Amino acid sequence: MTALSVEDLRVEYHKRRWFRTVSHVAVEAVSFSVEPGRTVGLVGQSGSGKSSIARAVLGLVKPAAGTVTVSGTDTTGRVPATVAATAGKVQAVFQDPTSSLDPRFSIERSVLEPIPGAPSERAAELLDLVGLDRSYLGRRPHQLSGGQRQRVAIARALASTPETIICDEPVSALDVSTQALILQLLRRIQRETGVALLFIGHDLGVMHYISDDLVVLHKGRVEEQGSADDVCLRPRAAYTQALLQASPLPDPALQRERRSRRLHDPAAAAPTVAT
Amino acid sequence: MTTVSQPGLMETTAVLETAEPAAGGKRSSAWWRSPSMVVPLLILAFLALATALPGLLATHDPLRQDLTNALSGPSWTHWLGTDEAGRDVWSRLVHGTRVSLLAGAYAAGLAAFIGVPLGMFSGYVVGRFDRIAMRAIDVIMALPGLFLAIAMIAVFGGGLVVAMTAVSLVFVPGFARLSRAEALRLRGQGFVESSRLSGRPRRRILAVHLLPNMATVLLVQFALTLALAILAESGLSLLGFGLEPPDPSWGGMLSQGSRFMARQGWLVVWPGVALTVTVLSINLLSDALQRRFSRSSSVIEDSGPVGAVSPARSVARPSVGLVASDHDTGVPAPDGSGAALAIRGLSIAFPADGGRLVPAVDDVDLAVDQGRVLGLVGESGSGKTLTALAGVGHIPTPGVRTAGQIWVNGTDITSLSGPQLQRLRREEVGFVFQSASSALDPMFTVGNQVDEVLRFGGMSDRKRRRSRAIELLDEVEIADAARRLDDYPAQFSGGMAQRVLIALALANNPRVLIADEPTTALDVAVQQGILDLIRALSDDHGLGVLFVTHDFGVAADLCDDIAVMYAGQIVETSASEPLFADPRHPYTRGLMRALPVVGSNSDPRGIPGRVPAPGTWGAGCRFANRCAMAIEACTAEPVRLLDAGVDRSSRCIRLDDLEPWNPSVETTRTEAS
Repeated sequence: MTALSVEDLRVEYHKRRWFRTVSHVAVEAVSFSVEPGRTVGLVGQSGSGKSSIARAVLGLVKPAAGTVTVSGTDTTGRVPATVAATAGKVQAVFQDPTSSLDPRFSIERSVLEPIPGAPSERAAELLDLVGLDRSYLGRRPHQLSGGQRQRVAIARALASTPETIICDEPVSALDVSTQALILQLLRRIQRETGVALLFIGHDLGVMHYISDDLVVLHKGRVEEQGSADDVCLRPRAAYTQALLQASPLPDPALQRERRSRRLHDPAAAAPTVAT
Repeated sequence: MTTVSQPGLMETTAVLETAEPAAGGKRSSAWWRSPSMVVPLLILAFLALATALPGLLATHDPLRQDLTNALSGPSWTHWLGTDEAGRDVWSRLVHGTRVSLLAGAYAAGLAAFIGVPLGMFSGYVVGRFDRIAMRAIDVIMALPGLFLAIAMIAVFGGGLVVAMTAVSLVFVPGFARLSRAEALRLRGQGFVESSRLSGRPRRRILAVHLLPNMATVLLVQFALTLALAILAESGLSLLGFGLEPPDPSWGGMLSQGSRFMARQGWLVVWPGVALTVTVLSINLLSDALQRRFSRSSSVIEDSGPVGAVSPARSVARPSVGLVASDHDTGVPAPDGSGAALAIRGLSIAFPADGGRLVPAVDDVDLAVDQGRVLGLVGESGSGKTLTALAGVGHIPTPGVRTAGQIWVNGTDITSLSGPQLQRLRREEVGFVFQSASSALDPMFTVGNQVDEVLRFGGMSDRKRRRSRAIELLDEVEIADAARRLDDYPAQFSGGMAQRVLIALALANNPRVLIADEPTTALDVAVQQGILDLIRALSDDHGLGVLFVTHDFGVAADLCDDIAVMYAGQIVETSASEPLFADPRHPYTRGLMRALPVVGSNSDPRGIPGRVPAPGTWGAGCRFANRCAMAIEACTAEPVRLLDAGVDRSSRCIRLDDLEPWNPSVETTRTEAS
C-alpha cells in the first residue's frame, strides 16, 4: 500500500485586512506519492511551497483543495477519527535541531514521548538504531551537538514505528561532515525498516543522494518531476537546469568557467533572484 | 566601517559550553554567591517567619492597649514606639505582615490561576477563541482597579477577601497576555509540533511542554504582581476598605498613623519602611531570577548558527579631532607588510573554572593579499569565526588574545586604542555577518543605516551621502537603488538584505572585507549572486577578502587560496586549485568526501565524531581520533605545519603516505553502527 499520496494539492494562506481577506496561493496542483522504502524529495528555493506541502501532509495546515492520503486513509478533513487512525503513522524531523527537543526533557523522555508507557529499554534500542551511545539517555538537549540532537529527533520519529517520516530540511543547519552522517543514517534506517521518506531540501547534491524521485517546485507549482537521476543528470525544465548551474561543485576550474559563462550570458544566470 | 560590538557571541558560548562537557548541566556560577539573590531572599525568609510565627518575633501583644504610654517614640521597651492606643508598633508590624503578605499572595495567585491557563490556551489554539478571549482581557485592562474594588465592596459587602478578589481581577490581563505570547512562541517549536503529530491530547501538551517552558517568565511576573498586590492592599486599607481595626495590617497602620502624624511622625514611617523593603526585595529577586533564567535559556537557544548585532547602530562615535594617526608610524610591519590582512601566531583563550585559560585559537597564521580571496574552511567549533573577528580587532568577551599580531594594511591593530579601533573598523575593514536579516536594525530604513555609516565615516554633506548610498546599492546590484533606500529591512529578501550588509561594509572604501558564512542561510541561486558579487569586488577594486565557510563547494567557487582549520589550528594551506586536485591532509579529504555532489558516482561520507572541544586537545595531532591513518606517532608530540609542495603546507606527519587522491577512497573511519 502506498505510504503517502498527495493529489492535486492546493494550499492557501489568508490574511485579514480590514473588511476583506487577502489570499495567497502557496501550493497549487501538486501530486506525488511515496511508496514504502522509497524517498521522494521536494526541492526548491525558499517560497517555493515545499514546506507548505509538508505542513499540509502533517495536518498542520488545512489544504484548500486536493487530498492527502496517509497509509490508505484520507486525512484531508482532519476529523478526529482520521487523526486517531493515522496517529503515529506519520512523523516528522524538522530543520532546527535547537528547537526540535523540549529543553526540559531528558533524551529518554523525548524519545519515548510518542509511545507513552514504553519501557526504557525501548529508548535504548532507538538510540542504538540512530547510532547514539546509550549513556545519552539521561542527558538534556543542550548537552548534545546539533548532529546528535538531530539523531535524537530521528529516534523519536521512529518510536511509533511510522510508515512515513517527513524530513523538513533536517540537515540544512548542520556542518557538511555531520550532514553526510545523518543522510547515511536515514538511508540505513530506511533499508532496515522500510519507512517511506518525504525529504525537503534546497541543496541539489543532498537531494540527488537521498531521493529516489524528485519534485522540483517553483512558486508553488511543479517545474519538473521524475526520478532523481533524470532530474539531476538530464534536466528538462530550464528552471532545474539553472538550479543545477547554481549549485557549486568542488572544482575551481569548472566554477570559474561557469562564472565567465554567466557574465557573458546573463540569461543563463540565477533562475530568479527574488526581490 | 561596520563595527562589531559583540557578534560571534554564540560561537563563544558554544566554545565555553563545550569546554566543560561533563559539567554541561550545571551552572558554574552558584546563585548563593550573588548578593542580588541572597539579600532579598534573606529578607523574604524573615517575612515568611513573621507570617508563620509572629509570636516568635513580636515583643508584645499587638492588641494590648496602654493608654498611659500612647504615641511614644522608639525606646528600649517599645523598639519602634507605640501608637495612639499605646500598642507596641513593632509587634503590630510583625503581626501585620501576615495580612499584607497573604492578601498580596492571594491576589497575585488568583490572577495567575485565572490568567495563565486562559492566556496559554488562547495562544495555543489561536483562531476565534483567541480573538474573543483577548478582547475580553482588553476590557478588563481598561477598568480602573481601585474603583472596581470599591464597587465590589459596595455590592458584596466589605472585607479584605472581596477587595483583594477585585484587585486580582485587574492583574489577570498581565498573566493572560504574557502566557499567550509565550504559548504563541512555543507552539511553533519543533518539539511541540512533534508532540501534536504523535497524537498527544492538547491538555497534555499544554501541561507538559508549554507550562514548564514558560514557568520561569511567569515566576518573574508573579513576583512583580505580588509586590503590586501588597501595595494595593495597603492602599485599600488606607482608604478604609481593608481589614477592620483593631487587627493590624500595614495599610491599616499607615491609615491610622496618618491621623496622628503631626504628634508622632514615626507611626507612618515604620509601615512605610516595611512596605518599601518588601516590595524592593521582591523586585530585586525577580530581576535576579530573570537574569539567571535568561542566561540559562540562552545556552539552549544560542547554539544555532545565527546571532549578530546591527552593524550600523553599533558604530560608536568617533572622538572628534582624532585623525588617522596610525598610518604615519613609518616603520612597515615586519611580517604583514605586503598583505591587506595578515595574522601571525594568533592565539585566543577563554578563562575556565579556576582562572585557567583554555585556548580556542592556537597559533594561527594567515595572509590575505589585495585582490585575492582567502577561504577559511572548517566545521563549527574549529575557531574560524573567532579568527575572523580578530581580523577587525574584536575578541568576544571574556576571551583574550594570548599571543600573536594582526596587521591590516601594514598597521598592527593589536596595539590600537578604542577610538583607533573604531576608525579601523569604519574605514579599513568591512565585516559581513551570516544572518543579514538580524544584522540590520528593523526600526530604520536601509537608507538611514547606510547614511549613518557614511556620516561617521566623515562625510558631512547630506546630499553627497545620499548619492553615495545610491551608488553603493547600485554597486551591490540592488535594482532601483534610489527607491529602495527608503525601504525597511523587512522589505528585503534574505539575499537582498545580505547585499545591503555588504554595501554597509563597503561604504567607506575599505581594502579588506571579512565575511563570516554570508551565504550559509541562503538558497543556491541567491548564494550564486552573492558569490559573484564578492568575486567582482575583489577583482575590480582590489579588495582583499577573508571568507569563512564550511562548504567546500562555495570555497571552490570563490576562493583563490584556502586555509583549512581544525580545533583551533590551521591544518592545511594551499592555493585553491592544487588543494582540490590533491588535498594533503586527511581532514581536508574527509570534508571533501562529505560534500554531496550532483552526478558524483560516490556517496558522501561523513566524518564520525566531533571536533574536540577547547581544553580537551591532546599533545599531538588533534584529528587523530577521527582519522583512519592515525598511528601512535601522531599523538606523541605536537605536529608542525609541514611543507607539502609549492606554497603548500599540511599539519600531518603521514602526509607522504597519503594515497593518491580519489574522492571515493576512505581516509576517515567509517561510522560505527
